Amino acid sequence: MNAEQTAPHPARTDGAAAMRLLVMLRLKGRMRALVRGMRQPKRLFMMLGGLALVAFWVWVQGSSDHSSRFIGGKYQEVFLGAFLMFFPIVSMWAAIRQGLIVYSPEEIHFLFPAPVSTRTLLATHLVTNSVKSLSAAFFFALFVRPDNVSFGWAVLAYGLYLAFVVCLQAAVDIGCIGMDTATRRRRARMVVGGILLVIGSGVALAASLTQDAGVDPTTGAPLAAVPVSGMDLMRWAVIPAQPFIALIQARGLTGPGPMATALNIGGILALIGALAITVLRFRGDVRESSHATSATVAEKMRSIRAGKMFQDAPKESVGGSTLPMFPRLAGAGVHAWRQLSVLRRARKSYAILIFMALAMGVAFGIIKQNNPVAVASIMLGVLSFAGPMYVQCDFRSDYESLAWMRSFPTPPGVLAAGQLLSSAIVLYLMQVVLGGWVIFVCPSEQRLAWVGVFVMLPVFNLLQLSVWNGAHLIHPIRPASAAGAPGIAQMLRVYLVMMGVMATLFTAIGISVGFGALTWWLLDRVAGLGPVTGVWISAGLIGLSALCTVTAICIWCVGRVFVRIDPNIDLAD
Amino acid sequence: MITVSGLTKAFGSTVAVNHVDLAVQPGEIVGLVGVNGAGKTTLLRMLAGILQSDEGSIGIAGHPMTSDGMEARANLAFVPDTPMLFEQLTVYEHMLFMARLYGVPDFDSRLDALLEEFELADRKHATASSLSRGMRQKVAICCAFLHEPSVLLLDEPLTGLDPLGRKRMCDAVAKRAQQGSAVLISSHQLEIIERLCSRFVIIHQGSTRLEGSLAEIRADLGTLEDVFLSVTNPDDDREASPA
Repeated sequence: MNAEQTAPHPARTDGAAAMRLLVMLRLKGRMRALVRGMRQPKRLFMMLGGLALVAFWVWVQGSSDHSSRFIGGKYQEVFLGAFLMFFPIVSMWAAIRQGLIVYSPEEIHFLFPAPVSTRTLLATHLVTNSVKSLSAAFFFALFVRPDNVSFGWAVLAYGLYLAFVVCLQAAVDIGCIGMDTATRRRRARMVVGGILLVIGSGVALAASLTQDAGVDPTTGAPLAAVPVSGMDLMRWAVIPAQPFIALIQARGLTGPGPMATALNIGGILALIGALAITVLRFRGDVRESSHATSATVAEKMRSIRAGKMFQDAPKESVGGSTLPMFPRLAGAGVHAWRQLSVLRRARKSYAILIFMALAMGVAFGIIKQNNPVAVASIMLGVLSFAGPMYVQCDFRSDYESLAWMRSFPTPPGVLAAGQLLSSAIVLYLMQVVLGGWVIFVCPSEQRLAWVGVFVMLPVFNLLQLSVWNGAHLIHPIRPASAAGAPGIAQMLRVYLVMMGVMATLFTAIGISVGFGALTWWLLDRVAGLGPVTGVWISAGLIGLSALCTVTAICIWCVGRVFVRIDPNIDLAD
Repeated sequence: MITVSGLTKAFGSTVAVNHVDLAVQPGEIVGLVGVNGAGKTTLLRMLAGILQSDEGSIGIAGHPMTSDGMEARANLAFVPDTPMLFEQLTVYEHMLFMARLYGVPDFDSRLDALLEEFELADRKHATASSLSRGMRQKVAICCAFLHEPSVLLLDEPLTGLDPLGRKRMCDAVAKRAQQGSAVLISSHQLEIIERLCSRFVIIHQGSTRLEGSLAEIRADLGTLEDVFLSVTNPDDDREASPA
């Protein structure tokens, strides 16, 4: 030892004990905050309501032995496989592109200058993320549970699957540490493109095969071979997920035997272990590299917490051309113009939504061949119900600016209308482009109904957006909390808020449909006009008027909520 | 002008602002000082119509905030402590939006003058997300000045500005006051607002502790900092006379 070097501090370790203490203290802090939060009636109500709903779901599913409808039926394996393939591919893409070993700003501030080894930092990341993923396993087991598999087994199987995903993304992430942004993007495209190419090639190969149709029972002559069906082709696409499909189905009707299951579990554990060891043996400088990725991800987390869930940051510092200003309309036009200017630059939300709608449409097209109306319906359904959650250019994205906006000289109801209008217009344009063609291809007797649907859709979009915004103002729904990934308590609260939104929406739709149906009944049955076109149109117009009225009331309520809520107090976290 | 009478606001059991009375005349710059958590921001937010008061009344340019809120808001501008801009709008779009919102008649000439005054002309088409903290602060201030409000509420407006930016900001505020605006400004930078303000209100635990011109309040106690410390920290050696 150099004479000038000081002797190692007797208490110096690799920091593992301190990290364990930190994890325990954080956990304790969260529990303390949870208990303290229960003193507030709103939180207590939401927690109890969420628990009651989840308990109800567990009871309903446990008492019926039926699988989740989401993956049920004879194509269970295909749906389950597609579900299980989704997360590793997305995780790999994200890990390569932006890194997923995230350290919060306070962790960087306190831990990075401290004597904590790289291995300890990585081990903490693996363990805490695997434990956090158990809450996701719980929800997967609740909604994506195969036939006759017990709830406990499903949680265990999904837990192992998610531990694998955590280790996989960490291994991929450290493999890319130190790369610049351009290389990361290139590699992400290459890897994910390669995976999809391999899967696509397998499916294409399968498509070229034919199925032996057997022999004619009367003549004994061999029948002509038939092409493999669309759903059978999709079985080829989910082959990489087979070990996990077998694990989750192990206690179900179609699962493998005990010996095969034991071998399968052993293999999966070995795979997880190998990935974990790869991560823990990393000798590079995780601090230096994760500074950049953590800063990027921390910014994204901050954006997500502010409600800007699916909006991408502007890619360039220069905004480009400016939209022509709208008529003022007591201030509503100005706010709609501002939101549309923002929406023009937030293309990611459209891209994801359009991709989802197209993917569902294509999948439905494969299953229900020669049925364009079904394809258009499913795409419109996706856009109508998922759209208001994705196109968030309203109060949800302006949460940090609410205080400033309340000092504007615009009446709250008018401001709310302006805030919601641009998202509703953009959503409607997407619906028209992706589903409008159904009017021309549907049977002639359905045409009038489809025209009615497209007349009502803009109002329906506004209604949905107003309900979602009202819920968000009262209780912000955020996929991430201040302490990182959402805990079970937050998930329960989010779950309850979503149920509340759905209940409000169904009530509003029910009122409109009720008025329409009442008009139809009065004209058709009471007045005895019969099922003529005029009766249907009158019923539709009355229904539309009711929908417009309900929507206007909802928008006014959003304005009142906007005025009443206190931006100083945010109970979401 | 600003008139405040018996203003009170509580968050649960915590009284943030407790029966505050205040009047700011046109052309006057009043400094609002106090320790962190004294109630300055809550007071300013109530004046800006962001928070609703539990008790008391607010008048902005003669319009009561409770019964004529829209007209009161049209006459004021509020700059929050953290510039909350719309991230994906450019500087120009922010200004255009504000102009349209407040019905500014000669937008182009005011825009150019403001951008020039705050050295933002070359960042006119930059999105807010690409601006530094100081630049964002300047944009927020430009948005506030655009419609030439008769009441200016500035919450820590000097945070994030470099020394030159602070000087320009102070000059700009003084200019608006000379033009007849009533200005209420909160800041921790005592030496700067000591030069800028004609009157001070020291607020502590939600209540007004001391109010008057600099000459009045420092008669016996020295600099504004000495006054501030003695009023907000009564256990300190420097004892203050009661207001």
